[in-house]
Amino acid sequence: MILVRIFFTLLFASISVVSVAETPLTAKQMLQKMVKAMEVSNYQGTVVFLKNDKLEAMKYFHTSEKNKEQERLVSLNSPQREIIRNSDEVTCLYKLTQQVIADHRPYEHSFIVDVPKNLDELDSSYQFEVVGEEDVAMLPSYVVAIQPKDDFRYVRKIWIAKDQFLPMKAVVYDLSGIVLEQVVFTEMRVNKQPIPSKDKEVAGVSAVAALVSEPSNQASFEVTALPLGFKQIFFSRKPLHKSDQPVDHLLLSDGFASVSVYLESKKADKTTDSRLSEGLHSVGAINSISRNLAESQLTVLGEVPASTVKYISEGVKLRNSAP
Amino acid sequence: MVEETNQNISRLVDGDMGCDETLDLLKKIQSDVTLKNKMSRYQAISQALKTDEFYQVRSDFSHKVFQEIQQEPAHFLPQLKPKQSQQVQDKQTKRKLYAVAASTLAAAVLVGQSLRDNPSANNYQTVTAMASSQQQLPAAFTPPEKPEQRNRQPLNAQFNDYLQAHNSSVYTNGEAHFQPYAKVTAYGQE
Repeated sequence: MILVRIFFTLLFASISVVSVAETPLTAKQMLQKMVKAMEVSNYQGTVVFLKNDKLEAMKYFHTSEKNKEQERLVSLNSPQREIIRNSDEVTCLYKLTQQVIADHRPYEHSFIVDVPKNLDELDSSYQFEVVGEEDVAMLPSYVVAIQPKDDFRYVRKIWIAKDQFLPMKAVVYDLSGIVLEQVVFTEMRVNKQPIPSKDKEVAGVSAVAALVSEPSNQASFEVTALPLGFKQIFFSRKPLHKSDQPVDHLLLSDGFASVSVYLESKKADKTTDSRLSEGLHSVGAINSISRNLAESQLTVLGEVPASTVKYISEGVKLRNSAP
Repeated sequence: MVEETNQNISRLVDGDMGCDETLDLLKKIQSDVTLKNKMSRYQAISQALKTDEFYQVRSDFSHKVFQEIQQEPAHFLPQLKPKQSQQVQDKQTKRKLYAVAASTLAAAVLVGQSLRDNPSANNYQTVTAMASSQQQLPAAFTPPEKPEQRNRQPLNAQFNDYLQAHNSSVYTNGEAHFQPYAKVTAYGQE
């Protein structure tokens, strides 16, 4: 009798172990594994960006060594340039003009696809689903759909390599299903050893002061209405143009889509031609709207539908004084 | 007999045949593969002579149209008496055959027209091939662009600056006229 009990206990135990092992990953788990793999893997490949009807092919390198990450993009076509991300610092080297542009991006993590670490926070605005399996660059991949629960944001799909859990392709669709932007690897390989990082080329750049977010209550405006899930993540007041005229910049994000709100004085030394005209503008997945707010010009811009930038801009109100 | 049939096919292709004769001939052609092929050849010759262009309708095109008509949803009308029902059925059969003939001719006219409108289209393609490939459709059939896609504005300096401050995507965009606002320093490469 005891032997029979032991036999059945072992049988049930083994069945439950097998069933746990064979439980397929959920879409969220796949995305979380992808985020981790993107951090720790050393990999390289050829990546194609399709944005605003323009195709840009680049060589991509990712290095992870001693908890330090470096991403590097080398353009295959003119204008020849090399873009390097070291943590939150992005440097773009223009080979022809020998110009270096250095910038701080504390809120971005990847040139390929930015996925927030805590996906549970996005449950109110997105649902995640594994919608199939396809090959990308000859690598079998899971297809994960990130479907918005309202019309304030775009649909996204990410193709994740089954073996390495690295992103192979990411597509942004508009609300009618038309592709707005996509990033796709045409070939990719994982390296066992880190690729030597490129530090020498950026030696010509003097140290760039870290961009620190200021409290958003210092902004000369406030955003009174935001679509569900959008949060204020960054605020800065600094010159954005060639003049010293400061521009208030508030960055909002729902985890996937980001929207920038800019407010600057109309008194800046701009000709009428160089100033952004009022109304809606569209460039690929990016929609923007500009309007006058007393003596200032307000622009709301982001990779969201036009109705979203319009909704946010209508909720922007001036505080006491203009910038 | 054969010569007469050939002449009739020729008249049908030229559009010189009356409705009743057309109906009889189509019935004959439907049950005879040789005649079907002959009609295809006559159509090809006729089209080549008239337009210098050629398209080939698949031999089962009429049959497929006929099948589609047969699969039309039934409407529940009051039941007729048996004698009347037979007459109605005959009339319906005739109507269906007329519909097949009309559809075939309409398809021929439409495709011929589209080929004339689009000289770059391949002269030798079947109707099904054209239907299956959206790229080969003439411009007149291209779906209209979405308003959002048409509403593109040329980028100006201010918009560029905003885009760059927004995210890093400007770096991966190969816009040659991109004007960076950020720190520009000498590039000293070893």
